[in-house]
Amino acid sequence: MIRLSALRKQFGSLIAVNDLNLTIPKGEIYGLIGPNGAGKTTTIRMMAGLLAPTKGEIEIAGVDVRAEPERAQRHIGYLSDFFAVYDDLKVWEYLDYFAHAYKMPEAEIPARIKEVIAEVTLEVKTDSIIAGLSRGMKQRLGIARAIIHKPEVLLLDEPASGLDPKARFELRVLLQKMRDQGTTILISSHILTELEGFCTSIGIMEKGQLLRSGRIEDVTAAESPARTIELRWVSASPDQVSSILSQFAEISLIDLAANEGSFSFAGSDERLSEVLAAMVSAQVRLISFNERKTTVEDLYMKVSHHEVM
Amino acid sequence: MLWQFWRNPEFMRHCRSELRKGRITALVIIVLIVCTLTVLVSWVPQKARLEAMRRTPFGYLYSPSGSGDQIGAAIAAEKIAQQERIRQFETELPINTAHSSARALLFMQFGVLTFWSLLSCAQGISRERERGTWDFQRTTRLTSSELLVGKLLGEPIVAYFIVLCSMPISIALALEGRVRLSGIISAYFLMFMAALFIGLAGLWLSSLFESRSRGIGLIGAFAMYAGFLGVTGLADSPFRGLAALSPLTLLFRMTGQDQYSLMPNPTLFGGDVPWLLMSVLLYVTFGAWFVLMLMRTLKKGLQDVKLLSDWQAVGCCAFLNFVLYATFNPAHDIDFQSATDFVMFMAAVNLIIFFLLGLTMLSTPERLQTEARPSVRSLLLADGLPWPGLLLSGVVSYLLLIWGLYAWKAPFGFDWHTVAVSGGRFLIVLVFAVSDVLFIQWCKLTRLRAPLLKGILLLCLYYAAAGIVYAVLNVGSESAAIDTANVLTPVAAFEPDYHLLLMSTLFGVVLQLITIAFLISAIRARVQQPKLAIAAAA
Repeated sequence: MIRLSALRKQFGSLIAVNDLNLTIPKGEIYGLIGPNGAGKTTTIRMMAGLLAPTKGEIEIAGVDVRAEPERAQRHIGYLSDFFAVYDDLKVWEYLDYFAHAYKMPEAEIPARIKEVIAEVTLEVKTDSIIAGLSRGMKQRLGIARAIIHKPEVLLLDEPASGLDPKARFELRVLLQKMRDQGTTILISSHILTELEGFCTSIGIMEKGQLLRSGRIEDVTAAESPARTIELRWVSASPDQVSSILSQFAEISLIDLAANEGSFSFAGSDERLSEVLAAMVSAQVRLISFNERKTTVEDLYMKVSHHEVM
Repeated sequence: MLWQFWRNPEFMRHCRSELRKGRITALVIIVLIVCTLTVLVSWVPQKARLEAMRRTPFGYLYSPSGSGDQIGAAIAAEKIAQQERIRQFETELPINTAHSSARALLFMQFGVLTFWSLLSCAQGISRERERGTWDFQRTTRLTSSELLVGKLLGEPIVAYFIVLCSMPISIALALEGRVRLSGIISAYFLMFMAALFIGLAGLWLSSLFESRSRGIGLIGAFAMYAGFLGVTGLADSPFRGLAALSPLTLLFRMTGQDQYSLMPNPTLFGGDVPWLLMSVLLYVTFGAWFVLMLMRTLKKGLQDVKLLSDWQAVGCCAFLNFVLYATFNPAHDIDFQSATDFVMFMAAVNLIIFFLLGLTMLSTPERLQTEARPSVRSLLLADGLPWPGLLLSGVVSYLLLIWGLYAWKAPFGFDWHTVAVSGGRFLIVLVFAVSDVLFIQWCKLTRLRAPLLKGILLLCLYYAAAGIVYAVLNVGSESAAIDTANVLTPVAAFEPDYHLLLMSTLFGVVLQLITIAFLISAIRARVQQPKLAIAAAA
């Protein structure tokens, strides 16, 4: 659905995006993460057709963005980190303007406006002048604008910046719903918790280059083949627990305190169950024995060099 | 959607936001009040004059002589004549009032429409950039032409509404004032054409400025409006036709202003052309260049903007020269006494044309780095340096000059010596223009903020310094001062006793050529920096 090949953007002597290659299949929610100045916004602006690449190709839904920008816009919904709106229009007029600007069939527009307004829960404000809306409402209106023409690809640049927790939750629900309907979403953020449990794939960007990219599980597995297991127990000494764990070759980095600890495990689930069985048979009274999930933040901290241009 | 402007989303947006019920009502009331006041202001002096006539038994100081009977008869006759004048004045009062009211309204409508069009269009794009909504418009499926039409007609929609509201009143008054219908139609046609043209110019200006430099854009808009009205002054010059660019020229003429009603028609290639046709021709042709530049840039980011390609710039140069030769009227014998005067004037005009066209051909650092290659083929690339385009423009303008001199050989005479000397003058002008433009291109590659503006200011500083050096040297030796001026500036091109082989002139040209070579190599060095950075990263 999205294909970038050898994409580069230079600003004077600064190379903002350096030969980026990326393919995002249909229905993915792809999180582009990286520090400020990593090149995320430049990449998204090039994909949206707002910035001409220095070189390289951008294909969205099979359309070359550089060669056929107007045709490509049909498939793209774009939302930037600021929600600029026309304050002197009414909510429905604003959406009507963009529906016409995206050249939607005339007959479909009124129903679509109603539908989108309901999706962003602005029904009571349909006839209100935008100037009177709160910041959160304006942001939701911006989201409604980006999806009014049912884009196949949604490009969101820091969409949740400035949103309150409730609005963030609603945004996540809305985007997941769109994903379920087959929309491909690329979302950039430097707030990593924003993307947690939400994206299906991630790309970690730094100094204009993509350091890692792929489905979260694959990137995690590639980055850390060993899993971290955490455990808590009562009525056993750390030495006793340590001696049991040491029997397994797959176990390393044992770090135990009085009644809790962790170790790194590089084996299969079957072998892990054997570790658990050994503990139980050695009469270690376990309170918990669980795998620590690698978060996007963990992954980012591991991969990133935290360098900006 | 392009021609059905009333369905254009951008036009609809402006109509919706700026013509809400409350505002429409207020505007209609204001228009009615202004129209009423205008009629009253026109009626009151006429009425006062009528009253004064009624108070006076005679129309003028009357001192008849002769016998008593003769005097009595003469006074009686004069009283009858005065009553007749009063009756005629009474009959003509509504007509005169209507006529002067219509004229005042016409000028007001003209002022509102053109000034509002320019001002609103000159902020149309820069204001969107400031609000942050411009990017969203660019990501829609609206084409450049649709955006252009929507903004051109939508931005000044309030002004159009005001004029359309007052139009029935002014037309009725004009008809009552015995103005011919064709005259009324011509006046409004001209007014709307002028509004569209000046609106296009404003949009073009607006497309060049971002939010930070919006103020400069506004200053530019005011200057543009002053120029727009000021070209009326060209009506009394050898290029009379160019005065048709200002609708004031024709409006003055239509409304019977003394100076203009007696003015002859402009000429095109020596033949008379009606003023209205001349205005339309100029609006359409000049407007087409604005449209071209806007179409090239409207959906692009500022960093990707290049107003004209090299070939288009050459075409523009040819067009501007062509218009000057076409509108030139040699019968006007005030300014040019000889072919040399004419050539010097054209050299000066072309210096400005080359410089301005050079500015339109400047590439942004991104584009220049994208395409420029140190090969012969790169000379004619769309994003290469501006000097090949300027060189071609120089050749074209020189060829047109030869054609112009030949075409006007009757008043000036034609000889090959003048042609050869003209080549020298054009060479000097071209070399200095190329060097200045390349300097600004180099500034654009540096980290200067507002490099274009600062580049122009630095050039002004340079020429001011050259002027001071000239003035200082002139105290001691005039020839040394002239030589210095010839080396540092292109004044040699405007010397009536020009000699190409004068050492200082030659030295000046060679010095500029060396500067050009240096600037080109400096630009290339800067352009290649990122490539080196990439290689280093690899």
